[in-house]
Amino acid sequence: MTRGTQHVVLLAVGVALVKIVVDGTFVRYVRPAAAAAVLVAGATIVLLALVAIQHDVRAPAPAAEHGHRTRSAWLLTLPVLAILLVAPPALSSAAATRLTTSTNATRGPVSTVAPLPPGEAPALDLVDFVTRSVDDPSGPLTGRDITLVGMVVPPAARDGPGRDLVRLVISCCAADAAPVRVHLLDPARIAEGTPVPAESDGAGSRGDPPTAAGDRWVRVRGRYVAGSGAAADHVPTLRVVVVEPTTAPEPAYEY
Amino acid sequence: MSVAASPAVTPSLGCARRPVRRVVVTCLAVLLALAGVRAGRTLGVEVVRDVSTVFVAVCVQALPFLVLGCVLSGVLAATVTPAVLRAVIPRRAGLAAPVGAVAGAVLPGCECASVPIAGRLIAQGAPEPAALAFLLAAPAINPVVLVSTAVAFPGRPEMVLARFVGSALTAVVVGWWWPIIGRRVVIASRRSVTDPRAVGGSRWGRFAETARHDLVGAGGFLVLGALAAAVLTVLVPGRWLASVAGHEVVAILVMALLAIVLALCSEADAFVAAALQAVPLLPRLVFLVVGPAVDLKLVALHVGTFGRSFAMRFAPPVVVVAIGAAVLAGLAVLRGAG
Repeated sequence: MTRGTQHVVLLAVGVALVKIVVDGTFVRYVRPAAAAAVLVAGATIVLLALVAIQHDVRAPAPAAEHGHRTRSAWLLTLPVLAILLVAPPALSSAAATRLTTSTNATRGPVSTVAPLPPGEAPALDLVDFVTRSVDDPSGPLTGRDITLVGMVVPPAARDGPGRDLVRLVISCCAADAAPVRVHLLDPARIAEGTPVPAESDGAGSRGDPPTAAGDRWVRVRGRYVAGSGAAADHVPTLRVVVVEPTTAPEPAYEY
Repeated sequence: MSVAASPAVTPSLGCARRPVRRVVVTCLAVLLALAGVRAGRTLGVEVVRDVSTVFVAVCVQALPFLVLGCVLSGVLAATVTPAVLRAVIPRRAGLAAPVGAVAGAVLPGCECASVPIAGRLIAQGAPEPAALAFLLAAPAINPVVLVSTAVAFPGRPEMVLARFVGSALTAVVVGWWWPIIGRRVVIASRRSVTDPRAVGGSRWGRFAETARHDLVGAGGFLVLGALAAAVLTVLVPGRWLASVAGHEVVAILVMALLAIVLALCSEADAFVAAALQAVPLLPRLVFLVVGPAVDLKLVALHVGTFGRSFAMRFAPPVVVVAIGAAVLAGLAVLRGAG
């Protein structure tokens, strides 16, 4: 790979990194807190490439650079192509189902110290709801209506009707995503009847949907079934009151 | 010392093979693309989509650290001469390895930053035991990693100590052992940049050219490691982990394998280990000690920075030492704590 090509490839990589931070799609891949690091890295790469281009224009490098040894740099075009052409969406509900391990994801007990937000049906993160119910199955959650947002999926390893609500929790980047589940108690089968949103409904503010088009995102209002947090697989149950389809949130993950 | 300058490529042989190689590579690329499409159809479009998401995620997560490492490597090349390094770092492995490990403790960041720096240290004449101990220690025992381990295992501070001991032990033992087992291995020094801008010229010029050169050299291998890790992360089913929870020895080996296959950065692997509650603590400690030392992403970076022969000879002993050190640290700290 000649020096000129190296500069172009580096420029492309840097621009791609800056692009995903500027248009916000980076949250599909890494935590929001990583924005500054990714932006600075992209800008640094662009700067290094521009400095090298400027030097080469002024004083052309000797012809035989070790072009053999930098063939691997062609691989750098792969993430650039992926970001610019494919724009991979956030991990799908299929990934959540595939990634299911035996224990439901929870946060540490620190998060249960904070009191439940006031209001009729406060909105909670799924992982927050699961952590509180597992930590204290008969505690302050009992008798409260809660609003949760997640993807509707078939129940994990349970036969029969009903649905689960699932989201993905990430610590560092999408590679360590772990699913968090809540079982929906839904005798009236409201959740099952929820239509899959049409393509245009699922579109985020940037035109392309942040998650895969097949995912069914809903906002569920329901009541925590007391004691269900003590289940062996740490999946609490929510008795459904209202289900409405909603657009996929961006970021689609919880943290 | 086994550092050698880049071997001169005999032009006639290399150029004669090039057209054949090009044809072979093109055929392989086409075959891979076809296989990918076929895999997509059998596995489902979602799998291909998820693989591309995880692939981009690992790249985006790791690139800032790689850039940091290359920038620091450039700073090293521009400011620290080989003479200074030789004066500061002890020559004998006995002292050099611990010094390297201690230096690694102060550099926060994932593995991707330590590889270019270690490569630059070796190219600048630092004793190999120190540079390799630094390479293994920096991703594993820096403050950010230890803090995130403490947060991920609340109420179990002994995990932090066990991780620290295990990783530090791994770094020092490998630093001591490598001069013995790696005597005949030559680290293909891709760092010997022949371009005059990198050797002479102003400090800024040396810095910019070295950083750029290291980035171009290592970036492709990082992508390769990310690709391998993304495919395996998505395709490896989570359920079989629960089945190994019973046998501790099997669990140790499985967790070591998992640590190698999953290219997790060392700040986050504590949370992943904490979530695997079905697995006993000792195998999870093995996961935390092996991960920052050897994983697919790292091996790819090692190949790119130190050469294939080094990387292939370096990885297996490091895995063995890491597992041993983790087990020792676990038995001493975790079991001792009761």
